[in-house]
Amino acid sequence: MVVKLERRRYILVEFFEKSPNANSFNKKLREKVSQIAGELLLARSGLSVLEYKEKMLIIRCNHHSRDMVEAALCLLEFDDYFRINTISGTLKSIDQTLQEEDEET
Amino acid sequence: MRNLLFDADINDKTIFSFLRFNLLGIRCAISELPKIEYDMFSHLILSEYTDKNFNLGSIKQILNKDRMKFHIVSVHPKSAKIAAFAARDRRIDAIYLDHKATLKIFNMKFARRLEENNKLVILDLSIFFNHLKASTIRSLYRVIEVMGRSKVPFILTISSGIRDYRALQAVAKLLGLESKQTDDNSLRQRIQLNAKKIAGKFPFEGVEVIG
Repeated sequence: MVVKLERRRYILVEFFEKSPNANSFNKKLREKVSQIAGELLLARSGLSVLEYKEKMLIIRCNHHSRDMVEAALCLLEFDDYFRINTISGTLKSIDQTLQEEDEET
Repeated sequence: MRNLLFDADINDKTIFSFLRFNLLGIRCAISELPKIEYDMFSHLILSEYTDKNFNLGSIKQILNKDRMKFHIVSVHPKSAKIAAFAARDRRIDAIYLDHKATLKIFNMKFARRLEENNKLVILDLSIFFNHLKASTIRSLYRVIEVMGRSKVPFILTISSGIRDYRALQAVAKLLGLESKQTDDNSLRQRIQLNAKKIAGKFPFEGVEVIG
């Protein structure tokens, strides 16, 4: 049986005012992760940032480094308020949760 | 699980609704007695910063005079004497712990005493958000490791800047604290109990007025 050794996690980050440029946010986040956990974990994590809708970004990493990325995200010095909305294994389920939230509101 | 203790400008409700807070807390100095509202609880920290003549005598005096004005009273221990008093006195709800507290006194024996007397440990994580240095974190980390072995509930807080509860829990995970131990149900229960006491529903010890 083939088992995936590395599973991806998608972290949806929601901003209060306006979402920043994905590249600049990626750079800041990578610096923070390397400050906390070192270059080795950063290399393993496969960290990348994707632009997604208005006021939102998606951070992609693997499941081993998820806790660390979440903590680094929280310790990031940033002018605007932001929060982690959901964490998911697929982009499809992120869409579904957002749709559910919209329906609720 | 979306409650948090912090001192912030509570006028800006939009940010709090964005960060999904249900219950807001306000910290205050002894001189500032807040108006207690429905969605807000007051928290008094007895420390060197809120009281100039901070010693055992002044703590007792304040507790006798102003205890019933606050939902939660916590002590920032400056010495072993004050820490021991805070651990055994029923009027004090919590021990406020940060990197500036006298950390040598926090051993396993002290943690057991806190557990026996149903005290909370309010853990200030602002050190992580302001200046992350190994030398300053080291002493705090050792204490949390020791106290994490007991079943004392930790309440996470931050003294500057606003972060949501999930953010603080992620940082607590780095310190090795389990999410069960950082559950804030104990804080919620304590606030409810103290609110009843303030309202005068406990005329005598062990007697509750219902209705």
